[in-house]
Amino acid sequence: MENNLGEIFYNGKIVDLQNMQKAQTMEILNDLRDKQAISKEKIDICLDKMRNI
Amino acid sequence: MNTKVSLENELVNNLQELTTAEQDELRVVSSVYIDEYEKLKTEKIKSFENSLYEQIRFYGKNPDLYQKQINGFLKKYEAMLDLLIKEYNTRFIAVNNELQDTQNNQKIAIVNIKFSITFNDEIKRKASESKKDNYEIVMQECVRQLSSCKDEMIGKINEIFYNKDKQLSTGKQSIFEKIKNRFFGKQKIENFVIQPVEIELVRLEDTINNELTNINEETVMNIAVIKDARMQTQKIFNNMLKGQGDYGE
Amino acid sequence: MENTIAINSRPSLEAIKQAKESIENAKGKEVQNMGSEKVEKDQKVIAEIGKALKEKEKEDKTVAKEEKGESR
Repeated sequence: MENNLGEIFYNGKIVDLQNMQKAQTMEILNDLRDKQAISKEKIDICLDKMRNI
Repeated sequence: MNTKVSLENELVNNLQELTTAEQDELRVVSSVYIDEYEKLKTEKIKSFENSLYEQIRFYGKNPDLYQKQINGFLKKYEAMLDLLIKEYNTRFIAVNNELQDTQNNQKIAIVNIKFSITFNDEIKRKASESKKDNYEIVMQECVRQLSSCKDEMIGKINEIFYNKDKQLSTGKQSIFEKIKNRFFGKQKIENFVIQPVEIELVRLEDTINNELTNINEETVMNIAVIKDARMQTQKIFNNMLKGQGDYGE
Repeated sequence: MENTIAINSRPSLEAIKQAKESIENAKGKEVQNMGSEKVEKDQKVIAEIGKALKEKEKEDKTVAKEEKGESR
């Protein structure tokens, strides 16, 4: 969303990645991966619902 | 009808959410990657620069007198760091391209699952579901390779560009040595600093050129592993569509 | 599991050939630009998906598109 490589829009605010501690960055990364997993689960549930119409 | 439309909207929204999280992940991963190599590069150049200053001072001369030569050396040193980094960047970008293509192909497979449900096409549905699952495996491999790429680059930089100022033993000099350097310092710097550094830089260039070839070969194999996995995915999909459930049996 | 792929540490010659092409493509790019390139690519894919869902009869087109995408 942002043009500056070091920034992302995360949890409703702009986060500056470049001045972040590694532990914090890892936390964000894991959270983003969890989000992807959750979206995929929701997709599976959605497809299941479609099958049972 | 209402439910069908709302389920479709739900599907698109979920795909959009997935996409946004992927985009954010890419930004974080890229940011961390760039940040790490830039920091390391700066550290290595600074260390080399300090070692040059230390060595010149050791022979009793002011490093400012040698600034032009020092700048020349630093420029060459940096250029070689850049060559190495660029080679790993190519790998990083190539792996990311595979990841992105796979992410998008998976989304299309998901939509095809939806269509095969709509048209009651069991064969197509199972084939598309396998495809979706296989793409997941491909993506895991991509993520693994991205992590390795960064670690290998850092390791290789540390291996080739060791911290010079930690290697020096510029211990205390006796009065006698200090007096000698007053008269012979300039020649000593030429013999013991300038020339050895010039030779070192040539040796380094050779090392780097060899490494670039090795790194490129490894990149080819890494990407080929991903391509191979994608090709297998497609092959299984095609076989399943033909009704050959078990990979051609 | 029969229909599951395995990561093959000895990829085929065809895979190696494709890899070399992709790497050539990657050489001209910058790490900094990857984020915005993905956003562009994604916009197209999501748009195509949205369109395909609206045109249910054209379901075969989507499969063809996906299979075409594999040969890149």
